[in-house]
Amino acid sequence: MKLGILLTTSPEHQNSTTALCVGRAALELGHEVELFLMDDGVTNVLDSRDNPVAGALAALQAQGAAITLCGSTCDPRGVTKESAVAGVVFGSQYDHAQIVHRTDRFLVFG
Amino acid sequence: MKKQVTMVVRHGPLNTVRAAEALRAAVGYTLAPQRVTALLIGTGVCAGAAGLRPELVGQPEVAKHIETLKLLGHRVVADRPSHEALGAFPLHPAVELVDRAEVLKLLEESDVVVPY
Repeated sequence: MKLGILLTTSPEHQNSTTALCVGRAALELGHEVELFLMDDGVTNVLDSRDNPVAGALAALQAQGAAITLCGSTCDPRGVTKESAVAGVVFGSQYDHAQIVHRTDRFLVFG
Repeated sequence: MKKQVTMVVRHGPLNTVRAAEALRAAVGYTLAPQRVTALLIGTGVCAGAAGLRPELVGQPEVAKHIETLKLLGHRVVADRPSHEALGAFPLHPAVELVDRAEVLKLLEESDVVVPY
């Protein structure tokens, strides 16, 4: 099964941990996982000591999850390729639409 | 096969970007073979108010997204009980007012529901 996850809240919110746990569990069961992060959700990828979620997202990515960000919501929040976890894709709402279309289930954490 | 995607707009457009962002994402959903409906419910019905200009208080505009969805043949609907509870103000002409039963039917028939 292909699972899509939308995350729109910042790393302080419990949504991040919940989305990560769901994603990890799905991968361990052999499902494909794609995350799309937009609005404050893009700050989850900020690679800093103050953000433990970034490391967990990197680990999820290493397990096989694809992580795409809404590029236009990254700009006003200062999220750049240099400040983000390596390997995440700076995408657009086109990617969001395609994830919704191709996944069997789409979960929203926002 | 086309999916039915329903974006549920639950926030007003004047004190958060979430209503505008939800409608922007709804327009984005039309970039895949999907039927898109934006459902304005709760305080979210305020996003469908006629003549609304959130840019006057520094918030992003929403009317362009509503008009784009309509132009592309998709729907923007407002929950009637929410609208009545908030004073039954005039709505943007592209916004359809629907009863709660139709809201429930819409959600039931949707392949994807995105609460925003």
